[in-house]
Amino acid sequence: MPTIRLQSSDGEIFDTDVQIAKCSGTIKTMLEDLGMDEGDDEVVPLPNVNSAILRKVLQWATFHKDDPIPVEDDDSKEKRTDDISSWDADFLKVDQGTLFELILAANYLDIKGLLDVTCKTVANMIKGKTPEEIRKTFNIKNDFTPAEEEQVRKENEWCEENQAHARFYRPSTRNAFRG
Amino acid sequence: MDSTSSDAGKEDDDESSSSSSSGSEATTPKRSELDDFRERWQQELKREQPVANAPVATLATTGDNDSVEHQARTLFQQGSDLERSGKVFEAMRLYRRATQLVPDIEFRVYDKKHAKPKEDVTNDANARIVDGLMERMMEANIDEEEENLENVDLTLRFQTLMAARSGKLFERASGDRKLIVTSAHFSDLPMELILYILRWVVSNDLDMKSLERFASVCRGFYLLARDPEIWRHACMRIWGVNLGVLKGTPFSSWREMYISRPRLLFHGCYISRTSYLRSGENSFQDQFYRPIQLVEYYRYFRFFADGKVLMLTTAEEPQQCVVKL
Repeated sequence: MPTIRLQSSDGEIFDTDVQIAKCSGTIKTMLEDLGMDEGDDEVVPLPNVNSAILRKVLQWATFHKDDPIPVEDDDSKEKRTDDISSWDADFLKVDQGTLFELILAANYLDIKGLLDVTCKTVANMIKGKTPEEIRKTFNIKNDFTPAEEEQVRKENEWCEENQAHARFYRPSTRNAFRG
Repeated sequence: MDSTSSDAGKEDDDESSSSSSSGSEATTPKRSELDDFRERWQQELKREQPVANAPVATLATTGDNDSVEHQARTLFQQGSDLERSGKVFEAMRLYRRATQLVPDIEFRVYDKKHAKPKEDVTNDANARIVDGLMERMMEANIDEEEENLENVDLTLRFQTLMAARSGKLFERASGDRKLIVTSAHFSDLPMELILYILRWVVSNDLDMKSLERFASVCRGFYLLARDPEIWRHACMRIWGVNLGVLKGTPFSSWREMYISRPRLLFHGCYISRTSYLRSGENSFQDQFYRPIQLVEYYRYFRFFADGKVLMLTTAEEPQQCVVKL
């Protein structure tokens, strides 16, 4: 099976099955546009990905190599975050730093499947949390002044639970004296 | 400030006289005056006193842009006057228009403001930059301390503050900064990727609540979560082809439309109470006894963003049913 040599930013070389490497849109285009021969011993440098992350990415790509090629983003498509496969969920049980680096790598290498599943994971970390919990989770500094915070709270008040939009409509009297 | 306005005034004279001068005798003295001025100016330039003249010199070289820049400068000045008198919002509009005309108008104005006679050119330039920064920081501070934000457009405000800090949209909490220097942080993600994540946060069930909470985390997140594209998508999902364009509606943003325009709500249930009266069976003993029954029942609807609907018709009270839905 033809292989390709990928070099991570810290110089490690990965001999990779071409089929797997082509999960990456970036590498695929590179191979097609530059007309690299598959038997070549040439090294493809990936200066934005370090070896630890590249290893993870390749692990993911190997597992998903038979996946159908995802269609380009289309708004009518179902967007849900609760459909992460158990293999992916296990695969993404990593520390936050690694998760973000995987997102950056997936973006750089143009691997849509991996980008989606990592973004979904982060989205799930955001969903349903209070602002303070989000700050804690991602270690974000709160740089609002008290006045600003109050203003933002007012702007966002419409969606909070205690402002529920439950409305009772006036009872309609129908069919009075039926029968 | 004074130097600015007087310079601007000169420029104005310059233009108006040269344009209105053709074919009239009275303009001759004016012309010579103008020529004198030009000569003096040239000499000053040669003497390398770029201080007061530096911005003017750039004006001279840019030629056609003179009036545009002047216009921008005036707008900017008006803006800063307004800002000083507390009308931040109007000031922002003027600033914005000024920057549309000349993108770096702010620097140019400050350059002028802080141009003071000094011997060393480079020193002077540095001092001007520092002065400019100081001024900007002071303004930013004044801005930040402002308490009454009732009618202030926070998006604009944060954008300006961010621009003043010329940096990242947000940062990690300072306490842990040293601990995790090596690993990537949320702030390492480029903006478009965070927006992409936010689209997953909103996802199919239009979880705007999570988005709004995300906005309350910090200024940078606020800006990201107010991205019109996200809200437009949400509106699109609700109203579909009937969405129309924003201009034709009374709403100033997609977010406002999402919040204010009547629509199906997904985070609760609709209850319709129906009641009617029916006459009961007559008693066979007493013809004049006519029982009337009051029948009351409820219809419960719960709509989901993906198009599903739950409907329940029952006589049970809302207290018991709503929880189950």
